[in-house]
Amino acid sequence: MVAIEVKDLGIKFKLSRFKATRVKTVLLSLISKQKETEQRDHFWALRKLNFTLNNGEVLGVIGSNGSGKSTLLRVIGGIFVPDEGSIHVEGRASALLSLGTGFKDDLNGIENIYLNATILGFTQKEIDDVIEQIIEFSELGRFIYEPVKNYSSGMKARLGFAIAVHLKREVMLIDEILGVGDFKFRKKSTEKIKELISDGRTVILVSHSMESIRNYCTKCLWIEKGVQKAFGETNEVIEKYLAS
Amino acid sequence: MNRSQYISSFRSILKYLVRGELKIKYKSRMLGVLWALIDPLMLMLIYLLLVKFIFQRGGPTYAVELLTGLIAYRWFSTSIVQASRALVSNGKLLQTVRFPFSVLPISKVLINGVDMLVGFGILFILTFFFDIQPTLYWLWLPVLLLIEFQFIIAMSLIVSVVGIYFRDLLNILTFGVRILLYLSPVLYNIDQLPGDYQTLYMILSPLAPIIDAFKQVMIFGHHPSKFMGIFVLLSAAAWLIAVHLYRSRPNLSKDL
Repeated sequence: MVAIEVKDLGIKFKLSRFKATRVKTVLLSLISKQKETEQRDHFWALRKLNFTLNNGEVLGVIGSNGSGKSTLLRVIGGIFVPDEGSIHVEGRASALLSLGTGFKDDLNGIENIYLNATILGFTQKEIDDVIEQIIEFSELGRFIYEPVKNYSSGMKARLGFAIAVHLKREVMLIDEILGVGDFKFRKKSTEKIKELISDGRTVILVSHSMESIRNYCTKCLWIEKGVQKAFGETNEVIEKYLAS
Repeated sequence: MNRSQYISSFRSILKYLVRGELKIKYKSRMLGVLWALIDPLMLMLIYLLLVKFIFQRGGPTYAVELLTGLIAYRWFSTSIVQASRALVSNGKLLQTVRFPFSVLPISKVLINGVDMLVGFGILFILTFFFDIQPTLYWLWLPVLLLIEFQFIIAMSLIVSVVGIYFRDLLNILTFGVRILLYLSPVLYNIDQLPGDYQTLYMILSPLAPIIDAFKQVMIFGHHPSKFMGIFVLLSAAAWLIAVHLYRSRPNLSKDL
């Protein structure tokens, strides 16, 4: 069964130097819909992407910095709506591993878990079911009752990671660059990601490590400057990428 | 996400947001929830001093009239100013997760609504000291609160989106609500204006009908004026704009 189908997908961004700053342009832009802008005011972060992913497949996304990998994850996660072409995701995709965006500094760990997880779209019951595991995985101990502002950045990231990997969706989006914490925790989080991948879910993995892409992924997508360079069997795509 | 999932997710996010922010607001301060009492009272005392003792104006129930107006006004002004930053200041979050963004401005209205209710608590106590008897007209209060509530929500939704494209909005609003205070019947009553101008005033001053209505039912024992109709029309227009702004911007988070 098809899990993700992407057809001629295009996403464009306004360039900030053309962002409306004058009152008149602002008013005009508010009245009209978000419409076609002039060629020169925007750039295509992604264009003419075409691929299909089946249920349970693991897709690795590779490409240099700024090639549009994160933008692609955002489109699959439903945050950006295509400006061109279409995307269909069967079921719901998880959010990007957000590592604590949306935490409220003055609330304690548990309160933040509930707040964060409801924003991610989970119900109270779904959260109740995994809260113990989240707390245990985050290794925060009694700090879980402390306001998040007293956490170190590593602790915050651990909590964010724990929330993201315990609240699962049909399609999981993983940005491996966000490997967090000290050596021990990183090992544990790698294990957890492996577990997610072998769970039979559809996974999109963004990584710069060809080794992990080779290890985990059944398919691979190489994009460069928003354009699809190759899509197909992992080893073939990686060879092309390395040869370039 | 289907419709019922959407609504239930909307409600639970709102619940945790409001609960969390209320806790931050009140629990983290020494005087806690007392601030909700002190804030409007202090404001009232300042204006009372100014009008009653320096300008020697205002009738015997002036303090209660003032507080009624202030509470209704402040619910609007504080919510609007906070809502104008609600989306902008959460840019990162909006680019990470897809959720019903409108909960952010709406939560501000609810949080300030708690202050408003506490304010009404004080008001009821004050009416006792100023010898204002409860009347059947008070039954209008929940209706008026609902009418004001939906208006503030519509306006908050509008400013939250406009705030993304027009960053000066916060500065403008800070002054704007200040001016609005003097343009609204808070420190004075409508009947103190020259007769010819009263109708024009009620039409041009956006909050005038609702603030006047609160005073009429609470203190003067009258029904709300016919100008409430204008206020309801204004709300309808605000809702049209608000819904259009959100509907026409599925890619809102890209503009942050």
